[in-house]
Amino acid sequence: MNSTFEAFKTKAEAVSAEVHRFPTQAEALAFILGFLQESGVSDAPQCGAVWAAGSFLDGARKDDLKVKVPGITFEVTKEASADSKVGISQLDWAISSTGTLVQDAAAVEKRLVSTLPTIHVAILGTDRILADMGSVLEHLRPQQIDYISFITGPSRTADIERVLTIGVHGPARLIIVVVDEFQKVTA
Amino acid sequence: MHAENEILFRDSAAKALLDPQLRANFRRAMDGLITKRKAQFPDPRDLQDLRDLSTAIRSRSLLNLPSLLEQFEAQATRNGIQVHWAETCDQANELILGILRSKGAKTLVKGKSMVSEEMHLNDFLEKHGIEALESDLGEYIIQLDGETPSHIIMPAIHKNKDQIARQFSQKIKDAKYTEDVDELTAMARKVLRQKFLEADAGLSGVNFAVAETGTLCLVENEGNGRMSTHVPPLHIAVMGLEKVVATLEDVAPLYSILTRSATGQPVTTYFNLITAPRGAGEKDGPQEIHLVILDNGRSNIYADPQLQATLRCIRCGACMNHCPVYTRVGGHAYEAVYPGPIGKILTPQVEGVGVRHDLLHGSSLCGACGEVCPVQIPIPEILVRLRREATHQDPGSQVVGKGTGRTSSEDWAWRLWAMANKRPGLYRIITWFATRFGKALPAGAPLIKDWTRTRTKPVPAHRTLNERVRAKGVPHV
Repeated sequence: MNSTFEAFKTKAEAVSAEVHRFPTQAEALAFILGFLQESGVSDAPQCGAVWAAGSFLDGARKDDLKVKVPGITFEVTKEASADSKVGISQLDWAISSTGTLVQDAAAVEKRLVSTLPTIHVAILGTDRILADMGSVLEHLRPQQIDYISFITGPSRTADIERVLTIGVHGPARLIIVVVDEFQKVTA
Repeated sequence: MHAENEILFRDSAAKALLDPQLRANFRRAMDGLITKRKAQFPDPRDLQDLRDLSTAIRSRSLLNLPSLLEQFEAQATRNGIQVHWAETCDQANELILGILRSKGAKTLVKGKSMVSEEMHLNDFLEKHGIEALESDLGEYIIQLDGETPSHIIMPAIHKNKDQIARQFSQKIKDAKYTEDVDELTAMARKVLRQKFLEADAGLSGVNFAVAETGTLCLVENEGNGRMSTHVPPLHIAVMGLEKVVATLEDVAPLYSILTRSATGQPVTTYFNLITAPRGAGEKDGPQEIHLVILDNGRSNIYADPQLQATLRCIRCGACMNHCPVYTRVGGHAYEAVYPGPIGKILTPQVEGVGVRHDLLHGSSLCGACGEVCPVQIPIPEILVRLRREATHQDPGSQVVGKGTGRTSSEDWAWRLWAMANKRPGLYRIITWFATRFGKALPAGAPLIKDWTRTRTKPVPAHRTLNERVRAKGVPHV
């Protein structure tokens, strides 16, 4: 599992994503909260954070999270996402050969928080990293899922003189938080 | 002499060659793309294996195209996607206008789509009071100047950053002049972000349509494709009817060879598989997804076993990146939606080989396009075939405008040639005169002037072969 993770990390960092790994969910949550504070997330306009539903949040006391970092909302709408600095969502799979995240984005909230804010924090279980696209497609069947997104690094363009520019329409930063052990979190 | 209404590539190419800035912009960009693609395929055997696989997938998809399209339509409809068919661009435009009007939509934000360029959708919608705004950065840049794409992947590659800086400072409200690419991109992001949130509808193209699952696959880097397909309440997708493949397993190798051939990326930032509209109880996302499937001459191309290969194209643009003609004249000189080698075979088949006869000859047949094509379309062979079609009325052929590229001067030339070759006496007189006085013929004489426009005048030998052999004493000549 370590070599798969390392391969994933190398590829993801090569396309300007930032990768952090934690043994437990509690440590991952502490990192995310610290990151939000550091990034200046607050309840001021344009400074919020939208957090889309996912099993990582099961058992977490959302009210406590809101107290720790004012500006977090779990009510994801188009407007709230567009108005936020950070979007947080849980990803379902990843591909080590290309550093790609794969999102069962049937829930539109997951699409909104991973597209509209300037920073996307992606939470992923370490055992969810697979070798290639084919392996992932064995788990994700579009017949059952309205919208599947493959995400590799932050939004980019090279339309002006082929100069690579990060953050054109989607997020300018992609922070990947990889968690070894998914368990109930009490925050 | 040229056929009536013929569009002359030689004239626009000559004009483009006089613009050193344009040539420099293309040279630099194409060199970069060639290098990046090459780095993605370090092992030629691996590359050939992937090309063979991709070619087989596309060929098999085309072989079963009618049934795959039916299967796709049935499955997509089951998923809740509304499928519409358009034989012509006019029909497709009317369909989209109808969908927008039925929803009371006034603004449309667009992800990149070459099929919508084919339809000239933006102009059409504007005439009917609907604002259509391009959101791909390159498309946005050219839309500001009312231009068309000069490359199918990098639509604004004919401009350099100084030109874009000037353009933004003049056309975007409150924009300051800057040549910093990050700042220019941020300006476009700001304008377009607002438009995304306000738009009544979003439009996207389709890279692959999966028959088995009824899924639309969308390949992109900027995130505007994702936004066009889930931020506005209505999503309209447009695609050419050749885009369908059988299964999701078919998509993985095609996606891989597409991104590596196009921009030299192992994968793009975003790859979206869209299967159904907003589910029950959801507050956001498109309430409806409409898909318009366009023919626009494709069925006719499909009917010809050799020309059918044209439809294998996955629109990567590698053929233009490697084309010595395209690199020098740029995309606009082709006066066609699809420029470069693929455009050179596609455009005449849609618009007619007569009116596009000159374009068919705007190639040195060097073969670079066929060599890099990820699905091994024999572009040079098809070009040669279409050159023949342009001047011949082959009864079995369905090529649009076949034979209409033939001119009376060409007819006369061949008639004279036949006459001379059937009559040995006449042939000897003509060759005798040609060898003695051919040198004196001016370069601008009829029949010769098209040849001598870019080449030196051919000078005949002093004596005919017949005479020389006889002089050597060879018997029986």
